[in-house]
Amino acid sequence: MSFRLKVMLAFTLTVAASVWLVAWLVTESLSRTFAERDHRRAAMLVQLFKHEFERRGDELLQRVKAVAASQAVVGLLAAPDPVFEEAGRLANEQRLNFLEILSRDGTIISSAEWPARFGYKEEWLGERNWAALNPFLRVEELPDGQALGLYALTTVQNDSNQLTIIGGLRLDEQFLKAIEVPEGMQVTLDRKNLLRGSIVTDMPLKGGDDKTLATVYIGQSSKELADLRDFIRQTAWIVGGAGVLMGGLLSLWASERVTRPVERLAATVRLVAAGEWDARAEVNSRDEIGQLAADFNAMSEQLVDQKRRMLQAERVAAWREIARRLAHELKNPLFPLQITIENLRRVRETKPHEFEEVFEESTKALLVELGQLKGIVNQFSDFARMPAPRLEQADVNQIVHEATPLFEAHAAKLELVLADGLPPVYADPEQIGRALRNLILNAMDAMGDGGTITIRTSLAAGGQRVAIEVIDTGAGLTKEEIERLFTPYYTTKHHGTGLGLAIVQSVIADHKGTVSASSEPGKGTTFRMELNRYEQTAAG
Amino acid sequence: MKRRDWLLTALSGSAALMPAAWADRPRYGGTLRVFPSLPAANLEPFTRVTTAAQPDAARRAWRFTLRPNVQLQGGTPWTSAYAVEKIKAAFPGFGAAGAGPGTVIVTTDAVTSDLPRVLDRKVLIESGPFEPVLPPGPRPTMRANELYWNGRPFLDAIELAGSAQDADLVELSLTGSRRLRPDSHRIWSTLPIELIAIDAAGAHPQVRQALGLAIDRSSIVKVLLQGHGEAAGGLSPQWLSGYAFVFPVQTDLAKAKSLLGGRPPQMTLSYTAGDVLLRLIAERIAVNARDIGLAIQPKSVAGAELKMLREPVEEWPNYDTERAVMEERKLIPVVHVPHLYAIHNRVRGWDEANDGRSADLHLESIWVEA
Repeated sequence: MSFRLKVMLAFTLTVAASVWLVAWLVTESLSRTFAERDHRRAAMLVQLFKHEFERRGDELLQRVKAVAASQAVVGLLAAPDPVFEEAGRLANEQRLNFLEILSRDGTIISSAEWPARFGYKEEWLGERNWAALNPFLRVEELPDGQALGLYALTTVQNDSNQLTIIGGLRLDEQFLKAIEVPEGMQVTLDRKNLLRGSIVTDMPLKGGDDKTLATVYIGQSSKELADLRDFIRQTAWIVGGAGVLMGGLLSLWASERVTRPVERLAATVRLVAAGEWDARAEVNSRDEIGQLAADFNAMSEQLVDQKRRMLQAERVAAWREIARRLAHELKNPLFPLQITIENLRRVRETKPHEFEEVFEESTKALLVELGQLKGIVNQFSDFARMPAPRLEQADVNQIVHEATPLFEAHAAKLELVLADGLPPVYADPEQIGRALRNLILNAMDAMGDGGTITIRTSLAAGGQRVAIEVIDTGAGLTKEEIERLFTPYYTTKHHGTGLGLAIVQSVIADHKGTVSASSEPGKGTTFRMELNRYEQTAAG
Repeated sequence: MKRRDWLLTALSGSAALMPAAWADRPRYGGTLRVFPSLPAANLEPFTRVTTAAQPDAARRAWRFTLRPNVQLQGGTPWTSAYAVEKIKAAFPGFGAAGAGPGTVIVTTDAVTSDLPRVLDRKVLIESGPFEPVLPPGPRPTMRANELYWNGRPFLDAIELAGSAQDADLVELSLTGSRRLRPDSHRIWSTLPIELIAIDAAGAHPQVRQALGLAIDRSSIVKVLLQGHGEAAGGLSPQWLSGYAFVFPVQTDLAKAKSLLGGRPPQMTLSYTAGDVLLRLIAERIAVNARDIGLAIQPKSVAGAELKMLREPVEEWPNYDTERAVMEERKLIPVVHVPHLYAIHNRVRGWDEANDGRSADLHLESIWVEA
C-alpha cells in the first residue's frame, strides 16, 4: 500500500470516526434526555390518571347515592319486586353506564346494562365488602360480552327491606379520552391503538381481588427523538462525506507536497542502487523532505567520490602487485640468464678451449630459462585475453570425466562422487573444464604429495543449479586467506602467478554462476562452483 | 250449519237491523285525539259489509251476500264487482266472481274451514265510520262519515295528538304502562288476543323442547309485561279455548338440561326490527337459556335458527288439533298478550262499545266530553 493511500485512508478514517463518535455521543445524550423526559411524563400521566380515577370515583359515588335517594328507589324499597325498566331510566338520569338495583339477597330487581336479567342473583356481591372499596373496578357480564367498569356501591334500607345500588361507568376508550394528555402522548386500553414506534408504559388496572383486569397503555410518540436522530444521522453523513472528500483532496495535496518528493527520492535511490551514480534527487522545498533529498544527493556525491578514489587506489595497488609479481617472476629466470652469460664470457676469456662445451650447456640452460619466461608471459596473456564463453547444453558429470584423466598419474588420490540424473547446465564445457582443472591443480599444490581430492556433483539452489565441489585434504586456509583467494595475482605458493583462481572466478562469473571456498586450517579446503541449469537459463 | 257459520249469519242479520236505531242516537260529538297513530277507522273488514257467508259442502266455494245500503267513502257504490276486485287484489290465488247484484262467490283450491276470517285479515273496505280529511293538514285527521251505513258516529273527528300526554287514546307498549299519568288516564286492555311464540323450525326437536322448559314465562308476564298477558303453553288463550291450562307453562331446568344433552349450544333468536316487545322477550329468553347452557344470541337478522313471532290468537276445534298444529309448526308458545291502551277520563261509552275480544276498536259509538 502506498504512502499516499495510507495517508488518505488514515485521514478519512479519522474524520469518519470522529464524526461517528460525535454523532453517537449526541444521539446517546439525546436518547437519555428523552428517556428521562418520557419517564417523567409517563409518571405524571399515571398520577393524572389516578387523580382522574379518584375524581370520577367520587363523582360516581355521588350519582349512585343520588339514585339511592330517588323516589323510584324509595318505592322499590317498599316493594322490592323486579321491575323492568327502572334501572335504565335512573341510569339515564344520572348518566351511568351501569346500574343495578339488588335486593338484600343480591337478586337483581332492575338492571340497566342487562335489563333481561331481572330476578337473577349477583353472586359476586357476597364475596367481600365492596362498599369499603368504593370505587372499584369490575368486569361486568353483558349480553354481548364483557365490559370493564368503574363501580360504586351503596345500600338503602327501611325496617323490612334493603336495596343495594351498584352504579358504574364503562372504563373504555371514551373514559380515557376525558383525561387530558400532553401532546404527543396517547392513553389507551388496546396496545394496538398506539402509534407505531411509541414508547409504552403499562399501568395495570386491578380489581377488588387484586387481579389485573385490564392494562392502560401510555404511549409517547418517539417521533421527536426519531426526527432528531434522523437529523443527526443525516448531518453525520453529510459531514462524514465532506470529511472523506476533504481527506481525498488533502491526501492529493499531501502527495504533491510530501509523497511525490518521497517517491521521486525513492526512485533516485533505486537508480543509484542500480549503478546510475549520476542520478540526483530534485530538491524543491526547504522542509524535511527537501533536506532529505539534499542530504541524499550529498551522500551520493560522496559515495561516487569515494568509489572513484577507491578504484584509483585499487588500480594503483593492482599495478604495484603486477609490478611486484612481474619483477618477482622475471627476476628468477633473469638471474640464471645473467650468470650463464657471465660464465660464457668468463670461459671464453679464460678457458677458450672449454668454451664450446660450456657454450653448449649454457645455451641449453638459457633456452630453459627463456622458455620459463615465455610461459610466464603466456599466462598473463591468457588471463588478459579470456574469451567469451560459448554457452550450450552441457553435462556436468561429462565435464568432470573429461577433466580428470590428466591427473590420474599424480600422487594424490582422486575420487569422483557424481550425482545421477543431474539436469544439464547452460555452460561452455571447455571453459568449465579449464576452471575445474585449475581447482584440481590448486588442490594438488595445496596437498603436496599424497592426500585425497574428492570431486562431487550435486543439485543446488532447490534444483535450479548444479554444484561441482573440489575437496582436498590439505592444510586448509585461514579466514584472511579465503577472503583474498580470488584476488588476481594472489598466491600462497612459492611458485605460480596467482592467476589460477582469478581465472576460475572469471569463468564462473561469465556463466552467471557462483564460486566459493570454505576451509578450516588442518581440515582441507572445499571449492564449490554452481552453474545454472539449462532450462532456467534458456528460459531467461 | 256449523256453530261459527250460524253465529256469523245471526250477527250479520242483527247488525242489519241496527243502523236505523243508531242513526237516531244523540250526537255527542267531540274530537278524539289519539297517539301515536291514527286508527284505521275508515276501513272495515270484508265480512262487516256482508250479511251472510255460506260455504258449499266441500268448503271450497263460499257465497257472500253483500250488505245493502252501504255507501263507500268518496261515493263509490258497494257492489259485487267492487268486492271481487278487492278480493282478487288481496288474494290473487282465490277465485272470485259476482253471482248477481248482491252476491259474491269466492273459490279456493284448498279446503278452507273459515274463509270469512281469512278474508277479514286482508280485505278491508273503505266503508268505515270515519273518513280521512284530504288534503291532509298539519295534523292528520279523520272526520265522521256522514253516510256511514250504520249511522253517523258520535265523534266528530279523530285527530293525531302531538304527544301521549295530549291524547285521549294512547296505544301503550306493554312494557311502558308504568309511565302513564294515573290521574288523567286509565288503562284498558283487550283480552289476550296475540300469541308471542318462538318459531323453532330450525332447531332440533329436543332443543326446542328444552328451550320451552327453560323459559320463565311467569317472570316475563309479571315483569316485562307488567302483568298484562298470560303465560302461554298452547296457541289459544284460556278465554278463547277454555282448556289452555292443560298446556304446561312451568320451567323445569333439570329436565331441560337432560334434554339438551351435548347438542350445539349456540343459536340465534331473531326478532322483527323495531318490535321492542319481541326484542325484550327474546333477550329474557336468552338469559333463561343460559341456565341450561344454551347460548342464544338475540338479533334482528334473517335466517336465524329461532324466530320470535307474534300473531293473532285463533280458536281451534279442540286440544288435539291445537297440539297437532303447534307440533307441525314447531312453535314454542311464550305468552298471550293483550293490546293495551290508556284512555282519558273524558272519553265516554268506551266499555260499552269495546268488549276487548278483538284488536279492532269500535270508535263509532264513543264520544269525548268537552
